[in-house]
Amino acid sequence: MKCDLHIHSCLSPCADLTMVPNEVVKYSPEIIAICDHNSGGNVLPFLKVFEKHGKILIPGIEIQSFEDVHILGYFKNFNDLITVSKIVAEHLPKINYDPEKFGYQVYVNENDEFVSMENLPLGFPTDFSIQEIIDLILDHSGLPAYAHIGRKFGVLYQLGIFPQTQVRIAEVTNKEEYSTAKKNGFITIASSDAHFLNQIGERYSIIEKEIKNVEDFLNLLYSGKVKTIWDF
Amino acid sequence: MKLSEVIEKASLEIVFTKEDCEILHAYTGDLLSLVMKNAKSDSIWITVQSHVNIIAVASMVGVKAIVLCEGLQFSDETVEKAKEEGITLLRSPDNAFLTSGKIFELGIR
Repeated sequence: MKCDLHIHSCLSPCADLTMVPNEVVKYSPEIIAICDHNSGGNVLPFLKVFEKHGKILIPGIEIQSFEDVHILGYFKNFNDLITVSKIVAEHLPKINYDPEKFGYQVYVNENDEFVSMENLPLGFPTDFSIQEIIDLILDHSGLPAYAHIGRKFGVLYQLGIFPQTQVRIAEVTNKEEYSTAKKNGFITIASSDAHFLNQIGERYSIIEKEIKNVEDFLNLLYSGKVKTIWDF
Repeated sequence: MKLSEVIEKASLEIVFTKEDCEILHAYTGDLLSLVMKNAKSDSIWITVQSHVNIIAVASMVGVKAIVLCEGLQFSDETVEKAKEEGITLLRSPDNAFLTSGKIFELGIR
C-alpha cells in the first residue's frame, strides 16, 4: 500500500484553497496524514470523508519550533491531536493576522464548505524548542518525525547535524537525505508535503502489508516497516 | 586580533571563556548547515541561533567564539557543552547587523 504522510489542508496559510476533504481524497493513496502548520483543527472533516471512502487518515500536525525546525506529529487518537493543537495555539505569537498578506486559513466541513477562518498566525514559529515539541507529542501518545530534513525548515538545514532527541523517524525528499538519515540510524519516510492537489502522492512511502486502522499503521511505522522507494 | 581585544572593543558580554586566542575571521548566520559550509577556522561567529548544536558546529569548523545577539540567552545545556569543547560564549544586546558592524570596524573579515 502507498502512503503519503504529509499533506496540508486549506487551513495552512500556504496551501491552496482546493485542499478540502472531498477533493484531497480523490487524489490520495490508501493512507495519508493531514499535517497542517501548528494546528490539527481541520483533521475531523477529513477523518469523516476518508472513512466513507475506505481510506485511512492519520491525524497529524506540523509544529514549528523557535529554531525554525518543522516537526511532524502523528496520533492514533484524534483527541490527543486536538489537545496538542490547543496547547500549540497558546504558544503562537499574538499578532493582528492579515490573511491578504500571510494567506487564508480556512476551516472546512465534510461537505467542503468553508465554515470559518483562523486568526492565529499558523505559519509562524511557536515559542517551543525542538525538545519541548518532541516532549509535547510524546506526552500525548504521538509519534514525532523530522519533516523534510534537508530542505528549508528541516532539522539538518537549520541545525547542520541531528540533535540528540527521541525522534526516530526522518522524512526525506531525495536519495542524499535518505542516505544521511540512514547513516544516523533513522527510519525514513518520503512524503509529498503537498500544498496543491496535483502534488499529492508526488513522493510517497510504501507498506507491504494490509492495514486496517491508524494504530496498526503507526505501530508498523515505528518498527520500521514503512519504506521509501530508495529502500528497494 | 586577540579575542579579548575583540570582546572589549565591541563591548560584548562574556558568558563563558577559557583562554585567549587569535581571531582571524568572522561569520554571521543562523542556518547551521550554511555555517558548516562557509565559516572559516579561527572565527568569531555572530548569530541568533542558540540551540545546543551551535557548539558542535563551532568545534567542527574551528569557530573560537560565538556571539548571541538581540539580548538572547544561551540555555544551560549550551553553556555546559561550550565548557566541554572550550568555545567562548558571548552576548550582545544589539541585533546581528549592528554586532557584525562593530566587529567589521575592528578590521576582522
